[in-house]
Amino acid sequence: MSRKTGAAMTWVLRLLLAAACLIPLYWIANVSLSTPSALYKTPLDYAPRPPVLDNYRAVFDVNQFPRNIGNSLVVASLTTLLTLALGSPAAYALSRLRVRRRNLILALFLGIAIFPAIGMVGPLYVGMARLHLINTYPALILPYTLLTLPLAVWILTHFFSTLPPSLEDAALIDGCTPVQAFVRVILPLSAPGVFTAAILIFIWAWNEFLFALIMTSTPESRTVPVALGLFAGLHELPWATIAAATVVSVVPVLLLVALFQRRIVEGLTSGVER
Amino acid sequence: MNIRQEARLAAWLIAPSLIFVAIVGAFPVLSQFVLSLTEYNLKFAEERSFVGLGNFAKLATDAVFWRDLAQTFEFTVVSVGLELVLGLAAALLLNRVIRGRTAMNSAVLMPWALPTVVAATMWSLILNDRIGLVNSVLGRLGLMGEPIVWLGPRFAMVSVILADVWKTTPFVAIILLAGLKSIPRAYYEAAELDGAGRWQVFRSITLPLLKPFIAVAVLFRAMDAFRIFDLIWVLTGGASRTETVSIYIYKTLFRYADLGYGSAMTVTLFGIVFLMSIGLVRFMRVAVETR
Repeated sequence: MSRKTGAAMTWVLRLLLAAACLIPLYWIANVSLSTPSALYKTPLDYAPRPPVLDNYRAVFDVNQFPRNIGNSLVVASLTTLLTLALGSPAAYALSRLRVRRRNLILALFLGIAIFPAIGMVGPLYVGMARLHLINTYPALILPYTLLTLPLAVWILTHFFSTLPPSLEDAALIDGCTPVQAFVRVILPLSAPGVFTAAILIFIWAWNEFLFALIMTSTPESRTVPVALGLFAGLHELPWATIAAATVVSVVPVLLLVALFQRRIVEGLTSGVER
Repeated sequence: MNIRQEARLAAWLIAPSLIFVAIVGAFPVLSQFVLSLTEYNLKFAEERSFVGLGNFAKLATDAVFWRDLAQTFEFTVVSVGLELVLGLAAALLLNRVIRGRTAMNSAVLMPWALPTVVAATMWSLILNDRIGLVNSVLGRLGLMGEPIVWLGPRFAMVSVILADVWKTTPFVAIILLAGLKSIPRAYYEAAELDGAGRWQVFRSITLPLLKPFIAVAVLFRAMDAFRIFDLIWVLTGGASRTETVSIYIYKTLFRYADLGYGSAMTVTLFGIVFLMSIGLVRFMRVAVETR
């Protein structure tokens, strides 16, 4: 096989790979733009003929979906902020300062990360119910922060440790206090790392299902994944509407991926790649 | 800054997250361990009693638990195995893409970034026996007589695995891609000078140097796959022999309100995943040291 055919083969395989990833998404987009009855035609049309926007109108008119999107945005954003506010100082200390019982602290975070979420959701439900927080944002933000903290500490510890060790010393000599050294010198320099962590936390919180399912009981308080998951649990499935709702709900994450794929790759591989 | 000051500063910086973990996390985690030693069903709340390891003894003879454990194991081994093979192939294809790298990487990351529930809903439409895309294509190609009931008893596990492989192979591919990029180019150039064939290069350079990355990817995935809940919950609800341990726990806790027994299962599942994580930590260390 010559070099040229080899390169052509590689590209064919690359296109196949991209197709395998994208065809299911194309199909959902197709159904979302077709009339509901188009799905029951035999043989099926593989493109919307003609494209209609009725399903999107149904999503935004009939049910609580815009509200659900708002809930998801609030919960995911506040989770991201809270996790970073708690996680970045901790990661800074763990990566650049002498810390007593450091391994114990790291083991604690690891333990949280691997404990089955299914077991945490019950006791947390009881706790939230006692505080009358069911169907409120804190009932989701607090558990989400708990579950994303290990990820944030993991990624940020790695990022902080890649900065040269002399930075704080220089800042201290210039008259900064240690806290100022962290806030004014280290944090700005690790903005890319913090940003990477933020994207991964946001995507995680946007996608979470189990806690959101248990902690909410009214249509207005649901997040997007739960609204969609319960859609699919109905008997007569309004597939065209579901497809439109699906497309709407994946737009934010797909935008994040398209804009920041390099950062996401960095975040996923931090710790393995040194 | 002397050592004392440094330690004090570190304590102040770590304290907020530790306090948070203690308040929000310690209670649910510890309560599982305590509850696992009691007989406690919310439907008979007054009959609460300490039973020691009784729940675990019951678990050991619970046929449903063993069946679900076996099914969880089957799901984990087959999906992670496929994800490894396909993820490696994808990583090799993504490595050294020069033109269109951003587009390729974005395309491959899309399934990973999707909410699991959304991916599951999508697949339940695509695999639908009457109106699904898969049966339509198979029908048109003349490869299918009767419509295949993908989410029925015969193919449910296959379908669930297919959806999981589609969703999480990108994660494996990205980790392995990082591994490929860490291999110095000079090794390949030297091998080429020695006239080594492609397969030989792959077997004696790429694969050995990729090993720690493979281990990390596989263990990460296995820990997640072993706890799988939402994908299967949406696709089959655990019917047709696809019930996993997490779904059994969900039913025990929330449908039968059996807190004691459900907690014992949670603790057992935690134990299994904990053992996997020990392996993970060990391999990570190797991955760092081989550099």
